[in-house]
Amino acid sequence: MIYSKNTVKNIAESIGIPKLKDGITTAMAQDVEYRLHEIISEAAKFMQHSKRTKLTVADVNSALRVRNIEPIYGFETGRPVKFHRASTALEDVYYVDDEQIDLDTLLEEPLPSVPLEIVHTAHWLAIEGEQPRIQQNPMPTDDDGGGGGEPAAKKPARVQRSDGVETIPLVKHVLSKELQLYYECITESLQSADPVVKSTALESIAIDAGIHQLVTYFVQYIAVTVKNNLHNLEVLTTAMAVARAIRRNPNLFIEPYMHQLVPSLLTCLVSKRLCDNYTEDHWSLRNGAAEQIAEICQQFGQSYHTLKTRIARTLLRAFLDPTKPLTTHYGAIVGLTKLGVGMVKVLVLPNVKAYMGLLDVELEKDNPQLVDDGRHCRDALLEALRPLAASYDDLEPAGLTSVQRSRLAEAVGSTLAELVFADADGGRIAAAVAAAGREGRDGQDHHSL
Amino acid sequence: MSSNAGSAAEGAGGAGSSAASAAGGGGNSNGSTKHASQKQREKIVLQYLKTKGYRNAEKALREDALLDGDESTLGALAAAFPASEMGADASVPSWILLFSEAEQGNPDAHCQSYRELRRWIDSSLDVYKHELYAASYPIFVHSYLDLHMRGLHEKAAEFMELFREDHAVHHGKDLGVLATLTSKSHVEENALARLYRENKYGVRMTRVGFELLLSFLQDHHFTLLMRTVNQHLNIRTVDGTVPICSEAEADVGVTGHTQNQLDHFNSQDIALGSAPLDPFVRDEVERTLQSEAGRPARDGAGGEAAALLESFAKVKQEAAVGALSARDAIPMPPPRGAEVEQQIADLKALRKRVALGPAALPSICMYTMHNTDSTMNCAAVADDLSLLACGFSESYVKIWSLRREPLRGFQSNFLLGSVASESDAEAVREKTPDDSRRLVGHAGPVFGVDISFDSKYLISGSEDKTARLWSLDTFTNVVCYRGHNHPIWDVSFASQGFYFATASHDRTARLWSCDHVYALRIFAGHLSDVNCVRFHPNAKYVVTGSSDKSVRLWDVQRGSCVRVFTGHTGSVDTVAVSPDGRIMASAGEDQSIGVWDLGSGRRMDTLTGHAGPVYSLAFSQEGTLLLSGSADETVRAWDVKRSPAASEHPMVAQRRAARLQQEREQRRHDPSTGDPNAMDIDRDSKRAPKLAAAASNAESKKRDAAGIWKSKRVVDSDALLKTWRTKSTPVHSVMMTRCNLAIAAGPFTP
Repeated sequence: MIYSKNTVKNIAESIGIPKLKDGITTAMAQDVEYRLHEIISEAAKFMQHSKRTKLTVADVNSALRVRNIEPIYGFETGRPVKFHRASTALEDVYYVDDEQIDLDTLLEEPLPSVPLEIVHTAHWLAIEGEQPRIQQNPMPTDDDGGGGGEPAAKKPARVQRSDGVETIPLVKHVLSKELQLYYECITESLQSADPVVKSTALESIAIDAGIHQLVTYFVQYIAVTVKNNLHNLEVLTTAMAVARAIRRNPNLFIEPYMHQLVPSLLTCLVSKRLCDNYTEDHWSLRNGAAEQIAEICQQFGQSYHTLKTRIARTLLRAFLDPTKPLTTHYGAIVGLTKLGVGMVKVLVLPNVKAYMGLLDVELEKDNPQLVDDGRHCRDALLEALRPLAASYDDLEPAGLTSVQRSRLAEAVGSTLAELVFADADGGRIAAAVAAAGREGRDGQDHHSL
Repeated sequence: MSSNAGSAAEGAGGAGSSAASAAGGGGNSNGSTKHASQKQREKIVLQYLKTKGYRNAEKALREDALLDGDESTLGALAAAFPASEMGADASVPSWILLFSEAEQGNPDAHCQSYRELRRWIDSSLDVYKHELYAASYPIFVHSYLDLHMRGLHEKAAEFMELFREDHAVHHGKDLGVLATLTSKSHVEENALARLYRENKYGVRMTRVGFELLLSFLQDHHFTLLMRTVNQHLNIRTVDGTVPICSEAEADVGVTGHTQNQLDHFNSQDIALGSAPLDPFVRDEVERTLQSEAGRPARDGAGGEAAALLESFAKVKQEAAVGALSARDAIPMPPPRGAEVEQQIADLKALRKRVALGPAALPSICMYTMHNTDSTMNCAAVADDLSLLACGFSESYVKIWSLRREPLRGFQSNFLLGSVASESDAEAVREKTPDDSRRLVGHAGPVFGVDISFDSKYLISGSEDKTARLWSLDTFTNVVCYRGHNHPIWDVSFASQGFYFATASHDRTARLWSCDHVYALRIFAGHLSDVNCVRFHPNAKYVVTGSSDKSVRLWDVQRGSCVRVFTGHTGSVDTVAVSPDGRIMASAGEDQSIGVWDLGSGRRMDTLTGHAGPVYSLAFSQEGTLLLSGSADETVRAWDVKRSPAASEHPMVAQRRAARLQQEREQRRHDPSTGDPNAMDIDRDSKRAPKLAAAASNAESKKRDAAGIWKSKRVVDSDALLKTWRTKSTPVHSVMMTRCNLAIAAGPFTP
């Protein structure tokens, strides 16, 4: 019973009928409740035809009007009607808050803002049956019933999140049986210990014309391999070789996958440890990665203007962070060197002296590994200066005087200065460093990187 | 469980004999009188079985006792029965009366016996469970109504509360209405209660299921329930199995007709051929095309015209095959030139048409309305895609130009006499370049709009009981049509213009012509609101869908109903007729789409998959594909003419395989895999209504208000070709242009 007989009694009293017999109130309450249901189901029709799922006051009034009953005025507001409960000794009473409005303040209030104009937009929900992936269409986050096209050959793994929500990766990729077999065969060969098998596989990736659909999987393969085998030099080297191979293949269009490939390369360049034993030659891996990154910047610098800048910024940050290990510093130096003379001039040279100060401290420590790493960094810096010298080929080699030496030490630190002087090409390097230093002082605008 | 059902089946086999032994058990007199009274008894039993319609038991007894067909009534037999016997052994009728009195006096009798029935059904064999459940629904309703009629209102409410969950899945809406009844007078007054009380409820059962039920009721002497079965059920036994969702069959539920009556009714002759082409239009089209083709081929126009001429000849030939004779066709006003242009445009569209089918799905252009604040009620797009019109709760219709041309009406103050030429007309047009217009005139929410074939007129129907005709040249109201006594729910133009039809809350649909202010025909016959109305392509018929769950086809000339299509389990909100005029589709609240053959009046297919009320339907021009737009924010494509060959199409087969795979996957992922019953619910919630009810209860709690349609799981029927989801946009309207481009429209509801 929603509508109790006490309510009937209360209402009767309020309109001046003091005593109602019990039977009458019961009958009244029953009938009123039935009529209310009737009105509500009538109102639901108006809701249905307005294609809404929420019943409004207007619907109820329409229903009343259809039944030839005076509608209830004063409830048609934009916001939903809220009922409040007042507990009395006997039962709860519900009422609608009806606040008093002061006419003066109402008149002085600014007019409410004009509602937004109703507008329409058009887009393709489907083009020849396929739903284009545009912003106006929903993303296929859950399965779309029957029309999923053929099942993706590589079924994307469903990701079970902790809160129980299941999501499926957005893109379904269709792969033929042959390509799947090829992919499996290649990945297996890459793991083989036989260098002949491995190089054949790499060769195949580098020249095969029909494997474009697999690019995304190879890129994925590289990323996963790098991520899972950070301390396995051999596997990492293979991964880098795969990266080189797919980049070398003239039939593949890898531009869209660059952003996925670069992080893996960067990892191989500046990661703290890339091998189990520090005596292993991870330096060549880093050099190779640096080379590849430089090539990528060269190749796609035209279409992605910020690519080089962003990589340089990442490397510079690694280079200037004293908390990073020396291996990372080495990677950063090599990487910046490979990115070009400009990078060396603008980013490396101004910071060499400060860095050498740090490096000297490390070199004096009684730790063979640190000393070894430090030497590699020092050599790398020297190597960085070499292309600088080459860029100033019209300069006269500086005389290897002590004045020159102190001047050079001022620019790059004494340890490195000594190394430069010991080098066969020392004069030219010293002159180049001096020239670059002058340039840097003259025109601050060179820092417009 | 199986042994239980087995014994029950045995009981069913001997239903007749057990009754006979009950009646004849005490007969121990001697000699010929004994034999005579024995015969007499058997006759009574036989007659009893006959009146109750227990044909099997009757047949069995007739064979066993070698009785001949005796047509005397039960009363006569009882009177002829020796009076001495009466005292010794009560006759069958009084035996029943005794029980019935015992039950009559007991206010809990209904409740108790229904509970027993339920328990018995629960423990019966799975094979018969669903049909027994289906049969228990009318028993439940009538027990409830009976309690009310006997004045036991509290008992009735209690009864409803106890058992309504059983039937909530299939009959939730009806139960919602019935549960509101609180007195005898309400029962007598309520339309739905009357429907149940005045009509028999059709049920389909297998022979065994039926016998199981009968023997159960007899063995336990549930005379009250027996009486309900006898009075209010129309059980049709079928061989083989009963489909799980038997509600969709035509003769199940309250129809007011038996299947035979319906068949007979639906066998009336109708002419579904296309409307004949007006000779004037035909000649004019030919003349225009010929003159164009004859002109020197400047930029290829002549060549195109020649090709059009060719296809026109073909169309003419095709149309002539099934066309109505000019005498049968609906009279039309003399053509004024627009028809000729229309015909030529049609021909051009025909040449550009994309053939659609299960393997070639359409392109869909979606028009999304923004900032509507859920005040948008309906939408319509002109056939030539020049205009989009929407009806709003705030009593106006708004029109947008889809070609980005400004919509310019005429200035309000100009002298008609001063306009003599095209340039004069241009001068008095409004200057404001605006690509949308508001048509203000209605005094209540606008529930239906439609644009005429030539995009010159718009008709709108509103809650204010009027339909209004608007000119799209001047953007003014031209005529206001009054006649309906209640709000108008839908309006529709005939495909040739001039005529339009309205559907109204007053349970009628009406036919109007633009030049008369009164309705030409009133189509009365629906038992509840008429929700939607569409013309048959030849304009000779009108199809209406109603809240009484039926669809009717009306003859425009005679104004009478010629077909009734029953089988929906909710109100019908939208109908569509295929361009060839042979097939009709209807859908609505029950989320399923019925596909019907107009000629035979039979259901061809039931398409399930939508998870919300279906708002709109549209056939492709070939009639092979059906598009539906729904509140569940999807547009779906369905294969209508599913022939065995079509379903073997590799693409369709592939899709089906994919779906099966998906289903299997889903089941594997289901946490409740351990319980085979739970699996059943997931796959087919209709199999075990009670379990499903519990499941849907739990589910409904999880549902939030916005995602109400999204979380429901429905079994997709095989014919579902593709689902396109929209971004929070219920699809109010879908349509197909003449070149098979699909258009969808709906309001964005963030």
